[in-house]
Amino acid sequence: MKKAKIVVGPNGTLQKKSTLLGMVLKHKILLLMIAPALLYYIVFSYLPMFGVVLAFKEYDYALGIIKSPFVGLENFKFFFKSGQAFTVTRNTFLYNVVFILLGNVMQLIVAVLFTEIGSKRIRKTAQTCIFFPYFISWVVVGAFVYNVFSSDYGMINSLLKSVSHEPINFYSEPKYWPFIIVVLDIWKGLGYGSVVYMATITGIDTSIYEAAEIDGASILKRIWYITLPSLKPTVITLILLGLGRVFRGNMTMFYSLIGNNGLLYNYTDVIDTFTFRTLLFSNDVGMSAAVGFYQSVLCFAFIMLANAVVKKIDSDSALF
Amino acid sequence: MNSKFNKKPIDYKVFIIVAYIFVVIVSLCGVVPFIVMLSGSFTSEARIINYGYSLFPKDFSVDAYKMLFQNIDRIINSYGLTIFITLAGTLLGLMFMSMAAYVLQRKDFPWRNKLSYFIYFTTLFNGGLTPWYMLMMKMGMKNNILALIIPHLFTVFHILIIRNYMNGLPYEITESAKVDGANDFVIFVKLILPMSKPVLATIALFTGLAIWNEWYNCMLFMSNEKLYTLQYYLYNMLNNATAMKEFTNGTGANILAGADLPTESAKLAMAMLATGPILLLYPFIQKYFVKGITIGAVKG
Amino acid sequence: MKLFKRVALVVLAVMLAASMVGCGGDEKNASTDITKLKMILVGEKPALYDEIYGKINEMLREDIGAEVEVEYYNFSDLNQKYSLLFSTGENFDIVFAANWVSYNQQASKNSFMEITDDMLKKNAPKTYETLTETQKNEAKVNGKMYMIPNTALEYSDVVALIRGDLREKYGMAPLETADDFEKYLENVAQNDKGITPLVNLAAMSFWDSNESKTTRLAIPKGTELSYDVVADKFEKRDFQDYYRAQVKKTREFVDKGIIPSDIVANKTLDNMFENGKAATYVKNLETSSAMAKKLRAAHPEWKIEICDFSQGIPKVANTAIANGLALNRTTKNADKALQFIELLRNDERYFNLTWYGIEGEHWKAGENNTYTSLNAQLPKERRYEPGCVWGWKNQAMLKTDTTDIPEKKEILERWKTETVSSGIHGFVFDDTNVKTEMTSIASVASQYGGPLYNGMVESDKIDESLKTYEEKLTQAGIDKVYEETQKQYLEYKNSIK
Repeated sequence: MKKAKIVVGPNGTLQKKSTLLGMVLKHKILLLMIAPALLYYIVFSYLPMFGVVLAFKEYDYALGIIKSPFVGLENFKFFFKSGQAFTVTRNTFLYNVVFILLGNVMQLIVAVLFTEIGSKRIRKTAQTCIFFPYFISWVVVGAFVYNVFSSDYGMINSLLKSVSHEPINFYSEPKYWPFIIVVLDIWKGLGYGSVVYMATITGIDTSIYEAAEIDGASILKRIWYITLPSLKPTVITLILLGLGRVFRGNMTMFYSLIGNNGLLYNYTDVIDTFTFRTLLFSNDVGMSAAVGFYQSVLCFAFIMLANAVVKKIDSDSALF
Repeated sequence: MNSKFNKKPIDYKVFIIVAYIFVVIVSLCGVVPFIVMLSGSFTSEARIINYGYSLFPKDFSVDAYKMLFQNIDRIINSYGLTIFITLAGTLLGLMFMSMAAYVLQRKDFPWRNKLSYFIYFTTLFNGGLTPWYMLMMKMGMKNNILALIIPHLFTVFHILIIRNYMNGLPYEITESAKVDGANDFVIFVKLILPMSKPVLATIALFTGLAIWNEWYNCMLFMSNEKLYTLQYYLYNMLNNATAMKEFTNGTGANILAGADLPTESAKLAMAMLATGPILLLYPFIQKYFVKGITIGAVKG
Repeated sequence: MKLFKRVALVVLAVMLAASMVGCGGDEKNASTDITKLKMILVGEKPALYDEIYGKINEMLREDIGAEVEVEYYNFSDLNQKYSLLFSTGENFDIVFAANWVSYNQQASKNSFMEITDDMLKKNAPKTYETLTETQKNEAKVNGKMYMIPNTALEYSDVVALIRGDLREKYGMAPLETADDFEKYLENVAQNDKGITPLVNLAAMSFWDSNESKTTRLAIPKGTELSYDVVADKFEKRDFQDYYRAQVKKTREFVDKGIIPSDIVANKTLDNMFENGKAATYVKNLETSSAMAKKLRAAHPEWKIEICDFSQGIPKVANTAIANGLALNRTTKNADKALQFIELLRNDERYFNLTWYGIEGEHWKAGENNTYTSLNAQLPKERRYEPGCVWGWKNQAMLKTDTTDIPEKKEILERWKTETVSSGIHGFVFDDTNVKTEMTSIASVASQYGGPLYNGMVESDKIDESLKTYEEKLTQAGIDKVYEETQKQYLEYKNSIK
């Protein structure tokens, strides 16, 4: 596995690096193979990308995107004027970082432990079980959460009341929610996320394990020296991919769990819920484009930084 | 197996016991809410409203399913459509994405870094809903089944996962095949794909799930009920009541009239109908994660 | 290679199939001189759509040489899809429009085609004659009329349904006033632990003597600059004493166990009354009386009573733009579309069919503008629920259903006598200059106003919270919005004198 990473000598490529046409001809089959993907991204992503100009325009349906008048930074003002810009940006960032780090650690643990379990039947059943939450939509989760945490009807408060403890009013106490939200997010993504790791572990050459076992390496050592290093590139890729979206909140989740409960906003409001709620009424294309642009710029800056750091430490694992 | 286990060293035994306990706990966390959902779908509406959900149906009733099956034709139709787009989209997507991923990791492909970046960049910046929607409409996607498939054909995340996996395969395979005179496509199909089964199964699962859960594009582009996906039905049921409530406060009309507002149990029953089949299918996909492959054999 | 061939074959087949499905919709119509109209309405498609609109199309072909196809936008998709409709130059002719689906905002972005008097005279003479100047003014945005407003008396005021059996159990006389209602709620809270007394905060308006005298300007939801009908001026409602009183009352109810403390998070509130879990149901008159009718049949033992606690308080009817039909800016069939709207609004055959269903099967005509709905006797799949027909609501054509609860008519008749004309009708606020402020206010209102409104702030902290709320609103620029409103309103008033 390790040995496989032979760096291809420049001898093959450099020597023939004559003309662009020559190179295209040389790689024509590879180019054909990647053509559908390139075509797709040009048409469906790059072509509509000029829509970012909407962030700087007052959109008039009669005039269309191109002819609508420019308004400078007018569309951004509402976001910063609300006084919530910093809070929601911070929340989005922190929640995502925790989701990505804790989530990946949990998925990794699950994948490693699951593959060590001998019984195929138990392993398969367990794998299916942890996948269940993925299928419960956030709206349904929201209803369940209310059933558990409601102050009048909730299970927890019924329990507290039965031991004559003061009921806790979860829906007016923001401090509980970051914890609840993080647990739910990890719970929901555990089965889905661990699949990638399991697949990667499956791909590890089994003969390496056999050799290690014969050499008398303990199980922890095998995990530490064989499994985890083989997973490293995948872990880094997944974390980097996650970090590229670190300023985009999972609107459906937050909205289903929190809804319009203003008391919890300072701890639970993310950029996406904020925009959704605020623009629901005016439905302003320009303003929502402006927030989208703000998120893109932040994500872009952050991922360039993260990628540069990774490149410095381990150039092979960098995204690009 | 037991005798084999007994022969293992003590640290292994402790580890395995801890692992089992962990696995059981995590599994229960996953399966209990699902059982609650299942039991809720078989509980009478009054019971849910009055006492909330429970692990076992206390007041057994199949009313929710009866209500859903009134529209049995529509449900069967959505099932058919959803299965079709899932199969077609997964197959096409898997083919295109694995090809792209293979090229992007070929160490002798001069543009691999630039093109990786070109593709990745689209996750950072996008033009927003409006221009994309306009483009799709211009391409004739209104009431066109392709609108449910195309948006799922390429996912940057998936391409990069496949690329990453293929990156871990020994490069000598490609190299020696090239020396033998095989062309790149043949190498990809005959040598690389068979070795990538675990990751292909993963991405097939992910793509399949994404399309199976498709409701957003359905909402945007479909007005013909024959082209409604299963999840769009579910989405509508779950959200219509809330949305209506918000609108009622602003009007004097009775906008609730005529809307057969779903009961809580019907919502859960619909969720069950939408998840059931894919869960039954999951074990079959699983076998690709379990079947280890021996790369050594190929190497030789 | 075998695998590859198989895959390629399947892919080919899939693409072929897909392209065939894609093209299926574009069949050309054989008869060329029939104009195909497309109308967008909101809500769910009626179950008998094909039948009803089949008949409509039969008549339409004969009357004006047109056919109509209706596309329904569900409420859950409405916010997303409605504005996309106009941004993409989609092909349709008529669209439902109303102030509660952002008519003003859409109109100021040039979504609709202007409907001029000439167009009306030519294509919809009856509509032109019956629309009053006020109604037309109400439908104007920046001086242009973009919708044909409805011409029916409609009220958004709420009434309460209560359980007569509970009231009798507590030994109470029929409820007359809001104070009686409060006693009823207290009784429920004390005696029936399993039943939640009140689950809709709209009920709080019963204790607000000012409420019915004011009309809210539909600017940022959640906070309201309200217009006082009697004094003919705007006021910042959130800072007034009566707002403070209402917030305190709500919290008092929460403390007494009348209102659930986390009402904002509960998603099953609307089903609670029906399932015997709530003691009251508070909605507008139409919705409440429909519920009363349903429950009197399903649970006669509950002895459902309908209460209106606003007797003697001046009422303001909804503005004409509460429902209406507009034309797409890019429609090529404006003439035919208007002719069709004319028929829908003013031709008995069209109106009755869409509103009440098939005569003889779904309804029976009666005397004095009444009809008897036969829906209840029909099997479920044959019942007619009209869905969104509000766009062509016309008072002259409306009939009263004899199977409706008798109180509905009484209350409606009384409200008509109590109705005062509101100076604000016809005034349409143009938010172009204060869009930033309005959006900021909406966010502040949700964060700081919401908890107060929902009774989530403890009594001793209310004053402090209100102060914070006020400060935040000021920061967000509510004064600018207030000034702008006053300014525009004065201009409007001068223009009509």
